Amino acid sequence: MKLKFWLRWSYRDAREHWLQVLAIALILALGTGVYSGFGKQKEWRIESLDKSFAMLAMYDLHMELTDGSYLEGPALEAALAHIEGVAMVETRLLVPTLIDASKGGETILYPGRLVGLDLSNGGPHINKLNITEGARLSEADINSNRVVIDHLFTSYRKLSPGDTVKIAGDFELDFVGRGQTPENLMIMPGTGGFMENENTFAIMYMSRASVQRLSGRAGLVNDVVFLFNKNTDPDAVIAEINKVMAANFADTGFNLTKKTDDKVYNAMYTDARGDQRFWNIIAGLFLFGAAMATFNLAGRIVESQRRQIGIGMALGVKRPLLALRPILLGLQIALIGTIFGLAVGYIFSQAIAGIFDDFYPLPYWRNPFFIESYINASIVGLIVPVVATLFPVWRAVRVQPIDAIQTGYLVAKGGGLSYLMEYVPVPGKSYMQMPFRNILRSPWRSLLTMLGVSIAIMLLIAMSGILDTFQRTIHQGSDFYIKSQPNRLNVVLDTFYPINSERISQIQALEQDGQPLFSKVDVGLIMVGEYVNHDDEEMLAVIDLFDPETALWQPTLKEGQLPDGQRGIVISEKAADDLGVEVGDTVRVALPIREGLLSYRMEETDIPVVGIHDNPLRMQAYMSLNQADLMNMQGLANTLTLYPAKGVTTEEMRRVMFAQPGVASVQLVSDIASSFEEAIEIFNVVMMMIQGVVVILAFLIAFNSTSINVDERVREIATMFAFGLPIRTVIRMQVVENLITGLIGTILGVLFGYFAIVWMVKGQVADMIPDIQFDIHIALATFVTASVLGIVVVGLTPLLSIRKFLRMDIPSTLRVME
Amino acid sequence: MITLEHVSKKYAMGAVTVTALNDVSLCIKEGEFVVVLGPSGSGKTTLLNMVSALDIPTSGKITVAGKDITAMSRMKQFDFRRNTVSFIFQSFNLFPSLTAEENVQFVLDMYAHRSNQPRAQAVLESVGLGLRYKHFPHELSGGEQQRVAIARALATGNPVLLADEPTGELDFKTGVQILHLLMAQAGNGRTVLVVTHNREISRIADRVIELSSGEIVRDGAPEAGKAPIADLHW
Ligand SMILES: Nc1ncnc2c1ncn2[C@@H]1O[C@H](COP(=O)(O)OP(=O)(O)OP(=O)(O)O)[C@@H](O)[C@H]1O
Ligand SMILES: [Mg+2]
Repeated sequence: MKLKFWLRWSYRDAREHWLQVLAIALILALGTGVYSGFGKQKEWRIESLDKSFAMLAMYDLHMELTDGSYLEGPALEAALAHIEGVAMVETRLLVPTLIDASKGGETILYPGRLVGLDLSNGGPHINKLNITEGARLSEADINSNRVVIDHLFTSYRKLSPGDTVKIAGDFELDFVGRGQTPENLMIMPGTGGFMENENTFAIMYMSRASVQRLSGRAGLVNDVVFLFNKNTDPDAVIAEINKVMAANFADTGFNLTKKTDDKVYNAMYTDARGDQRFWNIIAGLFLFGAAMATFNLAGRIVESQRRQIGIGMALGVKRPLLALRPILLGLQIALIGTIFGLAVGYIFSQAIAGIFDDFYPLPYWRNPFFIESYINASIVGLIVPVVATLFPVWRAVRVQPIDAIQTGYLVAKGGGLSYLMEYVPVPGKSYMQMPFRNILRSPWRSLLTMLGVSIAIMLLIAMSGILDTFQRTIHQGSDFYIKSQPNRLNVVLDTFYPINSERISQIQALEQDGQPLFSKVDVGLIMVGEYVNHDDEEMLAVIDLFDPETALWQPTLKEGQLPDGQRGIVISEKAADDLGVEVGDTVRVALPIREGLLSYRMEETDIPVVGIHDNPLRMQAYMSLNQADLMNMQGLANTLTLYPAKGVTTEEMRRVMFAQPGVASVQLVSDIASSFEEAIEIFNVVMMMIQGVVVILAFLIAFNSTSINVDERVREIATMFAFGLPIRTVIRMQVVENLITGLIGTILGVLFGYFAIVWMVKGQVADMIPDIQFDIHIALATFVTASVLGIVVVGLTPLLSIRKFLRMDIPSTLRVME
Repeated sequence: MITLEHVSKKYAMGAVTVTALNDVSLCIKEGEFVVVLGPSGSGKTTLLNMVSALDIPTSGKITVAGKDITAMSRMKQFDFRRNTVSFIFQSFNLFPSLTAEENVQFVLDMYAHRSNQPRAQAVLESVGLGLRYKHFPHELSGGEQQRVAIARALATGNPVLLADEPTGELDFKTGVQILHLLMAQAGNGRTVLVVTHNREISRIADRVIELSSGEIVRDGAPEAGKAPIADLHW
């Protein structure tokens, strides 16, 4: 047979159904595109990290002098200059400070750190400063007050170069740029201030000489970075450094960290590997939904040609040839779909790379791997439409040709399940019963339509639902902290002080303009321990001890009560689940027991669980202060909760507290609340980005499923017109039919979607982010969107056919006995 | 050429069973021009469907061109329909998205390996549609569509030609023209089975089989002997 003939025929098929072909192709494109944009995340992120860390000359070894120790820069450099295997050494001066970038009535006052870099000879050459906005620092800045401030802090606080920035001592700096060095891509416990995150801790880069001048430490340094020659054994270098240091600076303590032990460096790689699973799920769900929809819709077009397949059978056309026309149609869909998919994939992969660039401003964030996942996805994209079109052929050749011809497409012999109508009383004229009859008469077609709608709704519910769940968790977490007493300040002291010590009573008595600053000060203890489960596995427990009798702010409980005189701990729901305990059970906790002035030993203790609190953070736990004896801490405190006096603002309290000795951290509860958002921010942002796509995809699927349904009825509709039934009535019948189909499809979709969320949240996310409790939540808005799409849009689809009906050439539609 | 032995076709519709054919036995020789006559609902189309292996009888045995089509595999049935019978449907069953010419070309292409193939246009000309070959079915009248269907069947060149009401939609003049063509096929050695409820047409047949309620009520030469086609009028 001539290929040209078949191509022409199949092109006519595509043209006849062009709207559907295009829509299916788009569905396929979104599916394959999103899949390829999300896929291979691990690969491209790791490649980007490798390249970026290389471009920024990430150190091989990092030396930090013990807090408070400083050495003469030239002397230290000279001593370390000739160590075997070391290619380059640079010294730096790191100084804690405060940043005050308040503007426009908003107080931006946070702890921070000045990082003095060696700018000589175009430096720094190790851990280079990657500028994301504004000017870079050059040799000319060696004695200037120009400063580059951390990208993330400035982006969260909306600061840009040129804004006024002061540091401790009310000294104004010239804020010229934003940027980061690789060791500061994120703030992790131990890399920033105590209990700080990227939004509450500002790292500021200046010239080393300037920092020395500003801090009054001329010539001194306290931080060294090393670059090795190729194939250097870090342990040999470390041994050598230890020797050199002992010989030259015996009194100075220091810490050495290999690149591979760097917390930030490791976290970047761990995240890249760990996150992949989540994105695979999202990408897979997209592709799955799009593939199912394509299968359904492409198959339906061919189903509508079932009669013609029957004719072909009657003419004795061989089965492979019978399948050729549908295959060619499927191929057209596949081709358009995968070509669009390439574009969608490109846009998505770049958008995601862009999001990562925002979060972790590395010099190289590129995703060339989307091509690879695109190839995987396009295999699915090419196969599914073709298989989908074969399925109806397979269905048709199983029956006698006469059945395929006579029964017309899809209409089951003998009227399908119409007999059920006898049990369903539907009032009204016969043509008002028609929608119900239509649904029952061809159960297969009705089922396909309902499934089409349900796939759309499933995608919508699953994708929006996971975002809803994330946002609910963020809100729940932040509500926990700020619902009551939002103006309080949490202060962590630098060590343990007797509750009645002078330090604490001085703080309690602080004044402003002769008036007391605080209306109340609650003392407490914060202790870090570990839960121990039956298998002796440990997980972090951060225990706040406070006085339930007097404390103004108290944790909200889901269950049980606060410890009241007796032994007892209030733990999180997640911890309770993970440990398999309930209120009334006991939980084993490893607690630090104070032995000497500042020495501890860990000891496991069984404590009754008296309550479950409402904080999604697993590690958070509460006990009453009178149980401090468990840890041999009775009468001591290391945290203060400060409540402002009348007329005092939180900012005023913070300014005063930052200036107080013995204060390790001063935290706004709103900043603590925002840490939830931090934990899942990337997921959150990307999910928000694909929300729109999900809605479009769902719309396309739902709309198509039903418009195919209307198209298949076109002959029947022409007959009704021929009998003078007004368009209004015909449309109404179609609307009713679609409403019923849409309603059932939506209900199915919501169910499928809910199962998908349960699987994702409880099975996957719970594994990936074990330290946060996620309660499945589907927002009302999501249900409304789903219902609007699945019921209203689907129900109103026939209205779009009005024009087609008005222009319908009734005789010619009826004339063809196709 | 065509043998039916005790062929019955029953449709079970819930409690009611419709007997479309009831214990029909007959034998048609090669090259015979047979007219099947009967009122509406008497089982004519059903009979043709069985002979062309479009459907299977409830019971009985059908042999066409020496092949037992009731015992055939599905695969063999495809071959049989392709190589042995051509069907002209009562409801035409053209491919709506193919032009008249392409509908004919479609079957011609299936036999591309056969020699002496006519051209699609020539076949259309022989049914009087020479000028309409570029038109799609929905642009043709019922009668024109029917002629395309006939052209398609003629183009196959299969030894058995089955026509279900081939003149039903046609005016007298065109009807006669078509009958001419069909008779000529019988003259060429093809076996032709024409179904009609038009008693007039039966006058030109070699043999007339009359059906009523699914049973053969008469079988033999036309009552007044075989008439020449020129004698027909309706
Ligand atoms: N698929 C079917 N299901 C049930 N009954 C059927 C089916 N097909 C045919 N019949 C019945 O079988 C009988 C014979 O039908 P058939 O189509 O053979 O009649 P016919 O002689 O061709 O009539 P006409 O001249 O009107 O075309 C009729 O009573 C018809 O109702
Ligand atoms: Mg008939």
